[in-house]
Amino acid sequence: MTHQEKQKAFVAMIKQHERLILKVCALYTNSCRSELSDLYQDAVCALWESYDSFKGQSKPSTWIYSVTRYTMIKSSRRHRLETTSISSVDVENIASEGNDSDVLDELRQAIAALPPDDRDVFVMWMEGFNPGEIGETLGLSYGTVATRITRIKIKLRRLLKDYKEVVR
Amino acid sequence: MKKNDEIEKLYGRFSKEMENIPLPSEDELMQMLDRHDAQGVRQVPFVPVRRRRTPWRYAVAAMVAGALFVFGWLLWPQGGSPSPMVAEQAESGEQKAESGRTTQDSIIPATIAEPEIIKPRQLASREAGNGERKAESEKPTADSAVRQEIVVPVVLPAEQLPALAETEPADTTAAPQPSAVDSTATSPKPEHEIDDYPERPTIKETEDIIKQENSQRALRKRKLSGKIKSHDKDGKSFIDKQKNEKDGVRVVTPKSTPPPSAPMPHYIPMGNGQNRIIWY
Repeated sequence: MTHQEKQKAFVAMIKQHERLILKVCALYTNSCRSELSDLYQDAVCALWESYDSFKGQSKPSTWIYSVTRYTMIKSSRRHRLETTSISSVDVENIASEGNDSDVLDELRQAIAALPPDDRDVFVMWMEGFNPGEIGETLGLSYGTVATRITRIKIKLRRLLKDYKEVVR
Repeated sequence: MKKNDEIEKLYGRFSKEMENIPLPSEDELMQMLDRHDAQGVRQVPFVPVRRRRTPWRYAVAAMVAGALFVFGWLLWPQGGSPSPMVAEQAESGEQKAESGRTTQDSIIPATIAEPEIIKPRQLASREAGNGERKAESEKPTADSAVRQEIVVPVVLPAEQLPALAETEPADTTAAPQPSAVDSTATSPKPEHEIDDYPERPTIKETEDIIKQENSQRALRKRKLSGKIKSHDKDGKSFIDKQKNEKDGVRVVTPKSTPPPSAPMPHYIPMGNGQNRIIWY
């Protein structure tokens, strides 16, 4: 396989799972909508760098999820260390987003309140992975994943209720 | 597991919102990857950090060790004799003391008396009294202002003492001190006869004192532990109880707890130094 062919195969795979990459970028970082495209590009570069290590033993979505999640965790750590000043451009961006980011904020608030392990389980479950795949990726058994999903749902329901009360 | 609840709905809304965000097309992605490849793999320049840092560490450690060694050599006494720095400090201390003392001497010149012969034992007792004398000398009195004498103590070995003691002149100017050598005596006493200490108690007296102290300590301990009580539970004094027991009347104090139902071991002396255990 030539370099060009490899690149084409990779791009096709990315295009197939681009929304998954974007969602992981949005849920694992506290970035605004304008920053999401940058994070997406970072994730794609990281995936391209580790594309040679993908042997095709697992589903491409599982591999993409794992690499993107790791990249976003690393990125959020870096962001935490950096001190960024809010410029006038950022303020305009935030103002223009308006109510569109309400849903995102609401879900982010709820998901951020979850422990990291539970967050992984929940996001993967929501993205349509079955408990077996989730367990394979996170090193958990089928039963554990199923139990966790039920508990996370209860927890999230309570958190969202509190959040709504605070908003009102 | 059902997905039709609020959380799923919310996630669905979130997914829809994510679909509205524009993402790069295939061509753009290809260009991006080409650019990424053109930049090359991010290579961290190899810096042998340890090798670069190690000489500095060694240099700093060597400097610290050297400084410690030099200070230690200067401050530590060598072979019993004080080190140069300590000797200098001691000299400077003496000079300071002298300069402090000679404020009055500068007005009236002091006369140097003849060297006094002091035995090692006397020197110890004199040093003990030095503190008091210093305190006295600091106070300006009329007498001290008129005349002050510097006494230079000289310590001689014990072999030379009898010979020198015979030729010693009577020291009239020096203040009376507790010295073993009596200037008025015709011949000096041998060293083993000189006794500066008060009378010691005899061995018997010492034993009595120790016994008394021990008994007092034991009494105090028993009092503290609450073993000694003046009255028992019934209000009877212990003195009466002891008296009754002596007279043959046995005083039985009722036990607060009833006897246990379980068999208890009872030790019956057999006469040959052993006990027989009977359980009942």
